[in-house]
Amino acid sequence: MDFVTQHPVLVVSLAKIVGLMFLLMTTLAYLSWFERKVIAHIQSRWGPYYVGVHGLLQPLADGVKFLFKEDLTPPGADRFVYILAPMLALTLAMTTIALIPFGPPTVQWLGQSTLIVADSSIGLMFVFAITSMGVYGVALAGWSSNSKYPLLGGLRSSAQMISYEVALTLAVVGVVLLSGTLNFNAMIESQRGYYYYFIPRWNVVPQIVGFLCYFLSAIAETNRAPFDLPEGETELVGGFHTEYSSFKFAMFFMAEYANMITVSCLATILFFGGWLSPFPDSWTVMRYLPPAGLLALAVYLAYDTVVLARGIYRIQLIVVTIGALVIGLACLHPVVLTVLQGPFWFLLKVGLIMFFYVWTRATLPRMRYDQLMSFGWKFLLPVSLANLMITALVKVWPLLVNHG
Amino acid sequence: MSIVPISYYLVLSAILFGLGIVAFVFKRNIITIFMAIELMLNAVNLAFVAFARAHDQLDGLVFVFFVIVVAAAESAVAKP
Amino acid sequence: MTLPFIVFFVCAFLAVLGALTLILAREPIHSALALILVMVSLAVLYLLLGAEFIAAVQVIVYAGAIMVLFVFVIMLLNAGIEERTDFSKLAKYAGLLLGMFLILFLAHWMAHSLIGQQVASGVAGTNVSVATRDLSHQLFQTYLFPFEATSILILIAILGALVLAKKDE
Repeated sequence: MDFVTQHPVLVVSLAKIVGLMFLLMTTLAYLSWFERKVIAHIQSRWGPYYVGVHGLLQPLADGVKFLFKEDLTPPGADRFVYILAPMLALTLAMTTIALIPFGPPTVQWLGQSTLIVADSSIGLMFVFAITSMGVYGVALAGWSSNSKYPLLGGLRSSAQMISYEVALTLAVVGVVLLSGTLNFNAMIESQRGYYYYFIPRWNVVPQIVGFLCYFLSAIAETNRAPFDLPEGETELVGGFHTEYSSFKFAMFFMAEYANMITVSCLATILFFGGWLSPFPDSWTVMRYLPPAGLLALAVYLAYDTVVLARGIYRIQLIVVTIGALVIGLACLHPVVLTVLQGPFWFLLKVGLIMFFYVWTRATLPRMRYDQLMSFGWKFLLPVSLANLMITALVKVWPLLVNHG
Repeated sequence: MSIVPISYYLVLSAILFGLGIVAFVFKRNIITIFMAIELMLNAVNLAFVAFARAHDQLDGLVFVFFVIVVAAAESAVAKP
Repeated sequence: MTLPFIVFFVCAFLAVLGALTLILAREPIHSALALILVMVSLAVLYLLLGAEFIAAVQVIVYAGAIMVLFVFVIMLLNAGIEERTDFSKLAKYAGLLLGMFLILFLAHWMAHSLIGQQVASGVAGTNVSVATRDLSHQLFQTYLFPFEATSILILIAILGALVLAKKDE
């Protein structure tokens, strides 16, 4: 215990990292379930349904399948780079989560703010630094496979990523101008309050153009539909991960989802007010929304258990219902309730943005590569620059008028 | 003053610069020679930042900023 | 053996290892990866020296854009394996010896020079990191002219790259 009190920073950081890693891996696995269910329901079918109750054990089955597949290395491939590329992609994609604030810095344990791992004063620039290194995973994977399709797919994909990175960064500078800081918690604090007493002062209202540019660039940056030509199966066989099998392929898969999560978290923080609740703090009844939601879920699951399910599904549903009930009742404890407010709203907003991501994938057809590149350079970049100039002008206007 | 003495950073910068010169002289592939030039520029950047910390001024950091920008411009044009 | 020392020695070791790999690698792609390792470890050293903004700019611009350009060029031009000519063993050993002598001389000079000793012996200064706001004040007020000149330089570089790309047709 002496060690704990003497080195609070180290102990708390390690605990946060371990907890966050565990949560992140589970979320990555269940994000694939979420995507398959949503796309299926949009296409009027059920999606994964048999493996667990409502298909909830499907990611587990997929993980086991990936582990048991044969792990090949193509002949003539550069072994070191071949093994390095997926590790690099996954590591970089998971590192940005350390900078994301899940809640207000007032929630503390042992004197360290608990809900963010690294609260640095230039958090935004670090996130961009790490995402700009993500190009290497794709490019090196394409190169090291020693085959034509991956090389072309990798080069196309990395060229797309670096093109849209510029538009991404410029779209965000407007937000930096409005909040005057690069620190995430300070940016979220500057979004408190309301316009006209009922529209929250989130950055999406003044920066709607910036948000749209950011969202489109983010979809292109993470190589998702409709910008996923370099990895579409009907176009280039499989793009840069054609020659990868079993666990390395799973690593690329997870890296793509982790990138998606990072970009959604960033959109939430920059444009949607992060962990701020849309209801004013004076409405204390709204603090009970998380446990109310969980108890409602428990009631629905109980109905499902008793009326609808049979056999092994009934047993699984009973387990899930009891879990939801226990967590819902635990949330009524005041300390847990205070800690839970920030992360609840944050995760809700991130979930909504990822729902938009998956919805876009299910709805829109793929864009051709030259259309994609001309859209990025000829449309998004000038629009982001115009947004930046107009924001700067609006910010500086009082000074100009006073001296003019 | 940082806990690590500044002269350690300067020695590291000198070693990297020397290794950059050795790479520049001994390698035959033109791309690798360009990379040796970038290594030398990086070593110089480290010396600048170390001095900026030592004298507690910001001018060294501004210089580093410009060196990075100029290196980017010259690497964009100097491609075969 | 406090934490800053450990971080410094690990990063210094990685940087020197990267530079040695740059010299000794047979394939240019391995040299490029080694240079990326050097740049990232230097970025960590900048963080240790308190220059956060410069560390982020180094990773974004140098390791994230310039080196990507190098890697693209190596991949597209399929730059071959570095040849090992066997001109003469004497030249190889003499060269290695002179190279090591150069490196050790530079390092010794840096460590024991007047400037090195002045700097190493207790310079008063706070241990906080440089605020981006102060750096930007310097950049946009004192150094405004070089800033604008470098932006024109970048414009010239873009135009030059466009002209070179067009001429290949």
